[in-house]
Amino acid sequence: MDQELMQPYIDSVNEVLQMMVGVKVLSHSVTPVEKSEIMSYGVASIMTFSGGIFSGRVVLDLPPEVALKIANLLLGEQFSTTRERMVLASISELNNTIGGSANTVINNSTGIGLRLAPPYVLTGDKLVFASTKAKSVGIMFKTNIGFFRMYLTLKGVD
Amino acid sequence: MSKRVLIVDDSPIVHHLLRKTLEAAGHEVCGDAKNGREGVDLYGKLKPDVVFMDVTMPLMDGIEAVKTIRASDPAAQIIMLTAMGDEQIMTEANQAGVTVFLKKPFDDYKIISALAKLV
Repeated sequence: MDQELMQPYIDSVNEVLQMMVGVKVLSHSVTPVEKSEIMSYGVASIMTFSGGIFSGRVVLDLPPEVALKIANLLLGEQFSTTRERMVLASISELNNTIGGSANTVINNSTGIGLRLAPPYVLTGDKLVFASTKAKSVGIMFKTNIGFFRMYLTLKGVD
Repeated sequence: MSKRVLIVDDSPIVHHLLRKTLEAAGHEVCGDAKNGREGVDLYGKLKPDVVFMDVTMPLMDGIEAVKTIRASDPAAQIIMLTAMGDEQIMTEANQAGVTVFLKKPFDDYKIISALAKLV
């Protein structure tokens, strides 16, 4: 995937995490996604987008303890389980804000006109989601509250 | 001056955070809607001073909701608050009649200073 298209997502994760919850990204690493099925860490928010001949998907995949820390920081409350509605909604809103911010940069620089669909979020043990037929990359982010992974897919782009 | 505010957004997190910010600043949240269609209905019933409106929502998006509200009340004051802030959406929002355009993520200052700019 073109670095020019991936970089807005990396920048957006940095900026949105810092502004929404005061979390600092310490490092990130990019790897191609080889498997057709991906075992989730426990909480996964999935958001699709499309525009013209392009379409794609952003998945945020977090360990439960990291999802809880984000919800606690965002809302100033102490949640104990990821099954609580506001915990899942926090991760969903985080994904929506990261994806929206990144797609805004891409739209302004390329004129593609990507539009988001409302995100949805899943949680559970042994949660598996299928990777799409298009090429995806996984981006592992290490932060001061733990790690999480973003899976990014853009169809119509080599 | 205290304002009566209607929040239209499909995220319960945005409702929660906006309500906290607005009430702490002395404003009243008079209604919550989770999509554009509900927002249009509640606008007619509640006649709020200001609407905070998202763009991407199920059933009816924010741009369509702004057009519908503006058609019934040309003086409606609508703040668009969205993660999508590209030039095309900003143009569509302006043409629909949005008063102020704000990009997520937001903080207290961004929200309260936008409200203060409204008449």
